[in-house]
Amino acid sequence: MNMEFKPNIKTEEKPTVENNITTKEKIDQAKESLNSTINELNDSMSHVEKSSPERIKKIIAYLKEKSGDIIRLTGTAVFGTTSLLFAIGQMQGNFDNMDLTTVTLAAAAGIITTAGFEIATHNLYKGDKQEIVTQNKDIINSNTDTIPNIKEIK
Amino acid sequence: MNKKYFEELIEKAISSQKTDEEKLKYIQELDSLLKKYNESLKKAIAEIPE
Repeated sequence: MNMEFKPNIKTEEKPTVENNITTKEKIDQAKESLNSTINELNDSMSHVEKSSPERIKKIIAYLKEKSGDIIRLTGTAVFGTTSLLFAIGQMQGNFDNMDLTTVTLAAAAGIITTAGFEIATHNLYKGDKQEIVTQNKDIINSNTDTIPNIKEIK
Repeated sequence: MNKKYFEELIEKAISSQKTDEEKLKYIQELDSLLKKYNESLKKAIAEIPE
């Protein structure tokens, strides 16, 4: 009888251990892929950063228009609460130590929301204050229920 | 691009996920979205002249 029970216990434990290892291995593989993607993005961004300020602004505007669905999606549905918490955290911090491309990528990645992106770019592009402030107001008005302090940030 | 800072932000976001399954899902979704974003970026570079 004992011989029958022992193998049963082992077979119940093994899949749990194997599943844990498999998930961690998958995480490692996913991180490798993510690192590769970040390197590719870095290459693209390096190209953009060599451009004139006017071209960079056009490219950012293009991305906001063409990739708006990606930014909105990551800012709300996919990353949800986590993203929102990071957005609040980032907005309470200092955006000045972030360059524009980092802010743009962070917004695309859902680490900061579209609102965070607007505020960050506003801080980074003080010369475009009037235009960015107007854009901010639209976004701020649609986020007052989820980001309590958003009205106080300009 | 402040690659190091961006990676730090991502690491924080990954760490905030509670379970390994959530971490895996987050990383995979992030990877997929950044790939799409890079595709858009490349199109922008190609379509917007200097």
